[in-house]
Amino acid sequence: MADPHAAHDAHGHGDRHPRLQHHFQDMRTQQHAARLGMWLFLATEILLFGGLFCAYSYYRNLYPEAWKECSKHLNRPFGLLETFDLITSSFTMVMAIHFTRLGKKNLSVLFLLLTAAMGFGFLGLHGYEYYHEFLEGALPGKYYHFEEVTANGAPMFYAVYFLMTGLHSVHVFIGGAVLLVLAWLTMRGEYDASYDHPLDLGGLYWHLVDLIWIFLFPLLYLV
Amino acid sequence: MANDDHGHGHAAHGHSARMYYITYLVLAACTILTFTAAQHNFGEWSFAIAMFIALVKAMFVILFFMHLWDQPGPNRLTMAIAVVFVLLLITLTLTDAATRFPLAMPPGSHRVLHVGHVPFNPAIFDK
Repeated sequence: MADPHAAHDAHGHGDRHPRLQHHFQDMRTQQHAARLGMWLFLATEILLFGGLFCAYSYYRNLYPEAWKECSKHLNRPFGLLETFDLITSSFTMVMAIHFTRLGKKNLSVLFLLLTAAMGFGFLGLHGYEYYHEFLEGALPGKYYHFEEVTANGAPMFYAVYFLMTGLHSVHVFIGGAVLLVLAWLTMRGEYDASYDHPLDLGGLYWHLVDLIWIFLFPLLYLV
Repeated sequence: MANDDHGHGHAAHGHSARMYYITYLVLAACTILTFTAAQHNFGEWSFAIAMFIALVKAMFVILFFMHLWDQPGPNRLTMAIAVVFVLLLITLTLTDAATRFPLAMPPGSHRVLHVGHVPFNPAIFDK
């Protein structure tokens, strides 16, 4: 472990990156710390969704018939479209960071905006699905009055469905807002090849959103 | 750190996007595959197939889009522990649900209906 003061002296003030905080030796250590912090946050996110996945497993185990019936009434092609939307947005996200590292600022901004647009597009698609479910009365608990499925536990399916997709959509919304801010900051020239940590962390968050959907899609729409 | 990256994030030159393209193609192919598989009836295997494909997609996203492939140990450990705890939560909860006395389950649920017919015996109230 090197003495931080020694590192200060060795580098001198001229060498220090303006974005390097005084308590880090160099940019790489700072980025490692930032990433570890982000991963810890993502771990809590996984645990948060884990509770809902647990509820899903429990009620699916109790009401397999209701799960089968209700799942058929979700709009599969829409689910497929939403999945493609999210994996494509994950791809444009990594490309945005890639372009920043290559110093192509405008391309980076374009790809960040594309990613955000796909995020909000996802919300639009899902909102359309919610709208139809409200019309049909496929709602949780006592509000359930969907006539096509009368299996026991169908209201539980919709409770789990709305909670899981709802929490996920909240994450998509937050992610989309973060991306717009990042696009704005990138446009102002805040990030370049030597400093892109906020983009990196925003990207991790966005991929987590994609990751959750990778499991939600088959569990809700396909089984 | 044993698993240090290769000056990642600093070395703008030589930073390749090849793995991103491959990952995207794998994700797209797996999505079509899982959608097609769901149109066929594999019975009990449907669930396992869907989950296996989802797992493959998740691994590609985590390893290449989220860069756990070339990141130091603590980040990987954080992710692994979170996943282990979620699996523990689900397995233990399901073990509990699967081994409960059937009448302790909510009315109308699968296991209460399928436990077999229990004839009503009024004699139990006589004592």
